Amino acid sequence: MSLLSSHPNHIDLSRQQAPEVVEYDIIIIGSGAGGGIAAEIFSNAGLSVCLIEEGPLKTRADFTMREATAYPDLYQEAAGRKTKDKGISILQGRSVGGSTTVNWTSSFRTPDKTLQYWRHEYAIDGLSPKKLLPWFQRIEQQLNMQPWGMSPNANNQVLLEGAQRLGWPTKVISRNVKGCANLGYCGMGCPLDAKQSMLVTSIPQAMNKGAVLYSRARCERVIGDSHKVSGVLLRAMNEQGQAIDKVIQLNGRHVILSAGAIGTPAIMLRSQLDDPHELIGKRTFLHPVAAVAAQMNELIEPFRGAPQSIYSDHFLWRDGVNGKLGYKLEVPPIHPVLGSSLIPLHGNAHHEVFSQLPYMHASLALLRDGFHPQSKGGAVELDEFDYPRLDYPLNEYIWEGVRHALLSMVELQFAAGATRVRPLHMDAHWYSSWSKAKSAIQKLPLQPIRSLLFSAHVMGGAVMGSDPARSVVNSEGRFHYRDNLWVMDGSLFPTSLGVNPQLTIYAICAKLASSLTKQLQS
Amino acid sequence: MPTRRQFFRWSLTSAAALTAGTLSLQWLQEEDWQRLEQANLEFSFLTENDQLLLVIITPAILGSTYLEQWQKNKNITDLLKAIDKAIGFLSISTQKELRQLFDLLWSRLGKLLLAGLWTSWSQASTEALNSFLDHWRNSWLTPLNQGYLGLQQLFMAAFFAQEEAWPLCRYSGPPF
Repeated sequence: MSLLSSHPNHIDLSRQQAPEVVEYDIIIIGSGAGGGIAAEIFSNAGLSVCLIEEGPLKTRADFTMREATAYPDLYQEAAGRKTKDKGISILQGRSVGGSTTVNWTSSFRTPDKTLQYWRHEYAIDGLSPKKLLPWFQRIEQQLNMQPWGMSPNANNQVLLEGAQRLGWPTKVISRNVKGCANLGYCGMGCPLDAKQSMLVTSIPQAMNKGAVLYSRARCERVIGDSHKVSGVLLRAMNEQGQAIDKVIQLNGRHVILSAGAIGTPAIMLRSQLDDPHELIGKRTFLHPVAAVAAQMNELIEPFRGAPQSIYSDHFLWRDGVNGKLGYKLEVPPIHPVLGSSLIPLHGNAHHEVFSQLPYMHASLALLRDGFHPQSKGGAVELDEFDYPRLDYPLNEYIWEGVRHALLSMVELQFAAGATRVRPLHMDAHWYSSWSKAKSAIQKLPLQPIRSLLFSAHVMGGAVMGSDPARSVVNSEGRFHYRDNLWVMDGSLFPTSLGVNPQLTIYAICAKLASSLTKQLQS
Repeated sequence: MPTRRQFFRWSLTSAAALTAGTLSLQWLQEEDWQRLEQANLEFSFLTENDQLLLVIITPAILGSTYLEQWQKNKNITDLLKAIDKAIGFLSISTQKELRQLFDLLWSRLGKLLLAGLWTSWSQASTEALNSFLDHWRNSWLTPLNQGYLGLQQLFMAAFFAQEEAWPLCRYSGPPF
């Protein structure tokens, strides 16, 4: 799809002038999982669509499997985004295709337990497991999501063997790939166009039906009156991803916010929309991730092969849906730049650890936040430059889950034959046995910064529901206080999911976009 | 009052008397000296003070193993350039925080200077700077921990982004 960069319907706002007639049926802000799939559905229905992306348009030819260019080109803040207190590092996409361009392709249906919790706690209609089933099936088929057919790479094999020896159930992860060569560079953009991201599927589909794509264009705010929005103000972004002094206005009959769970609330806050219950940006969830590195006897090369192919949900619901924090076990790939910055050491001590990279395995635990009264998530706020910042306080409830997860991961790694293990924590050392690691982890001071946490899944912040006192948008995704402003992305989720989110975002947004299309056509 | 530039040059070139350990400045190569003379033209975020500070602290952050490998093909100033470029992609408020971090670093290291520990920057030993970094890393003050990680991550990311660094973690690179 390298032709996308020369497509007549693409406008790089940092370099090109906007066309004079700028009125669309639908303006979609954000080209990730939600915006991409919605753009295709609206375009297929014959509506005029404009798709706005803050990041650049980068395609296969740009995906050279080098971290040096991939992070500045394809990630928010060059992959250096962090929560307000720096306690959690956030990996989030920022280029055409959003996070779907750089995700590790893991595809899961939303757990039934999560959907039932939403129905009971948030009175969300229309998202029962039964009603979503055809949407999951449709997306799985469209994006070729299938259980990974090749052998797991050595890094995933450690998870598989460790879990099997402990009797913890595992499964093979479904991946949205077609003609995947098992390279391991999904996080830097697929150099083969094998990943069925929005960049190579829905977005070119929509553009071929007439949708216009603006890249390097950030939505400053929506405009309109107290009943309806009439359009958006866009600001051009430069090569460094910084806003520049060039603003244009687009008019639209409907505006869809699909800017992700940090971007969407930020636009709503900048637009100073009605928010009588101060809910915009609240309940933002991250699936906080704790991780442990392990040294293995055999060659792992954690930078090679499909990054995620095995998972275990043994602890996902360990204390029921709304009890202690449950977690999903997966593995991350490790490449030099991100890997080296996760080892909180300097000088030759850093080298002693990182020179073992080819023999290193890492486990991660993705913590299912948002299901307990003590897990309220974070709050998106605007900094002095009107730029979003996520305040995500960490508390004892989270730390209990982190400690439990660290212990489980270490137990698994030793069961799989690790010679030594090292939790990603500033006070942790190498531990050479399960018993030594166990007593050390039980004593580790868990607190922000010293305990390294990560996130690749940002959810919530414009929560859906039927009660305006507890939600920002209704069950159709419409903002409670405007007739034609909609949210279609992961911001809708009132909790985290307990699974990697892309399929949930696709399915729910496809359903919402289809239902809006029907309304507009009748 | 000397100008910043005069101070910068004085700091780097004043006679260094080796008291104990390895002088951090001994790691600087001829090309680094030349570039630092004109560096102000090339950097967009790092000030002259920052450049001086980072040049001095680089051998302690990277350690001898990384630095020796790096200097087979590159200079310390190449690393500074990469860090400067990387900072340009961060949000404006993060850049503002980094400005505060560098200013804090300057004032803390400056205190050591004022305390007479070093008669000039040029006398800072790698060992003393290493202790300084350890102090930030292990402090009970969270902002110092944050500052440590911020610096460490900036350096390691800029370092391992370059192919020349990959042999140090035995990374063979992408398949094509």
